[in-house]
Amino acid sequence: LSEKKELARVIKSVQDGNLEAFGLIYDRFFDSVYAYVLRQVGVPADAEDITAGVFLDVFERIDGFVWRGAGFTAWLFQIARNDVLDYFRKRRSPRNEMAISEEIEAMPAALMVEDVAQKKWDDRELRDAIDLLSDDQRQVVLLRLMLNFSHRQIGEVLDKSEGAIKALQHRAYASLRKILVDVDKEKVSTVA
Amino acid sequence: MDLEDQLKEALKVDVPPELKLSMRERIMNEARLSQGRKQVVAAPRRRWHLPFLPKPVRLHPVAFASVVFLSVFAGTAAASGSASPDSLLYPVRQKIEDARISLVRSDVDRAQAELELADQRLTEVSDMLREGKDAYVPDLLARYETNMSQAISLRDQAARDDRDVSEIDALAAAIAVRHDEILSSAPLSEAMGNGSAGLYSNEDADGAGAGPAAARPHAGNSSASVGGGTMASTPAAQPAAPGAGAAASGNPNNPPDVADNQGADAADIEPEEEDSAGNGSDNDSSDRSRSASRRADRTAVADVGSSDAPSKQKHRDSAKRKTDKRRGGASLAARND
Repeated sequence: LSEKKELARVIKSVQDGNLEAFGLIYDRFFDSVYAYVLRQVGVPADAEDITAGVFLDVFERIDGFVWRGAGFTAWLFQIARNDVLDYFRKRRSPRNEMAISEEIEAMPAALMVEDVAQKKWDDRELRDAIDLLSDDQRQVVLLRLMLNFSHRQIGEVLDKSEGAIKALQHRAYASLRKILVDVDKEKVSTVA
Repeated sequence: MDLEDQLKEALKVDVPPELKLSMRERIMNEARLSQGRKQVVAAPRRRWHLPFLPKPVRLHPVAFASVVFLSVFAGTAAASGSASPDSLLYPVRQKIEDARISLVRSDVDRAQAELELADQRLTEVSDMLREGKDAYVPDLLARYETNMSQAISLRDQAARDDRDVSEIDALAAAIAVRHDEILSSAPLSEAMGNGSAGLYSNEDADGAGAGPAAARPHAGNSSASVGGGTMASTPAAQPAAPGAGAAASGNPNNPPDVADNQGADAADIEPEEEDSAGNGSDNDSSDRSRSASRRADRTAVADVGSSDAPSKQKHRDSAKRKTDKRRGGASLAARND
């Protein structure tokens, strides 16, 4: 609670024109914003540019920020998400083109083997699997697992209800298992 | 290790401290610049509202300071706000009006402000006539003509800039009608009988059939060049319709007897239409005759004073149509019979 109060005080100070207070916001959120952006765009130089843009957007729009709902963090990551979407839009390579989530969901459940989830996976394989998720599912995984956001906070970022976020998370995990099973099968067949 | 933990591990990003530091410097510099831009952009948005004008007007701070000085520190200014023409403070009031007008930037707003002042002059003319203070009337009418002249040139400029001038046209036409109504009901004979040169400063007393020479609308040289009653009264002879004769108004500060070149260019003027009322042959109504001759003179002045008479005639017609529409057309039609 005290951390929330402290953040509210800092935000008020930035709204009053205190540039040093904005530095405190940067210190508090840079790591998570940069990681969130980099995990999506994959190119460090692009991630740096987008992250800089996010913080400048925050600085320019903070006058209009009103504390409500999940608060400042969700508001900031909403901006970050939009900036990433803009990045893909400008490159004309929306990530959704890569996603095959509908096909994954259509795969028979019989392929889901329980021990797949217990297997040790390569980090690269896991990240590739996440990239194949739909945008909403990927956002839930990133915000939940990378940044420890609550369902409510994720709902604020994606403009969805808590229930919808829980359902998205459930489907995202199911899809990941299916993908990983498929990857495992490919591995076995390649070796054979 | 279950899948969720493995995903968390796979998604971890190690942010190099030096990257965070260099990015901080970059972002803070950008934020500083953005803050400066915000302040620069925000400054011109400030609107200085002048309560005595109908619409908020954006003013340069220096101009606003001048207004504040005039309005707050000039004690006489406040007292002269409602000064009537026979008051000692009236000249102060006129100076303040001029100062206020000069601070309005938009041509459209300025034209409207000029028209409102012209209308105010008519109110004062009416008041002075009612109180029998006819001596003040010529100067007031000269001021009226000046205001109308300014309004019309501003209106024409605004029209050239593709601004909407329909409101100005309608207002000008309405004021022109009021002008005629006030003058047509004025006790001209009394005004002349008491030694006054008439409602308008007179410089041409020999206009054929023009009725009293007092009907001359302008004191300046331009109007003096027109042969008085030879010009016919026409329905289009609304004096203050946009582009109309007020543009040729002479200097209102000139005494009536300084006008020269009387009738010199009369031969150059083509009358638009003959009207028996304007020739003074209609003896049934001397008032109407005088009013008609005044309108005739103003029409002539309009034609002399403008280099683009056809376009101004079009404006006059347009303004008249609007006025007719607003007034139901009946009263104006009756006046033009």
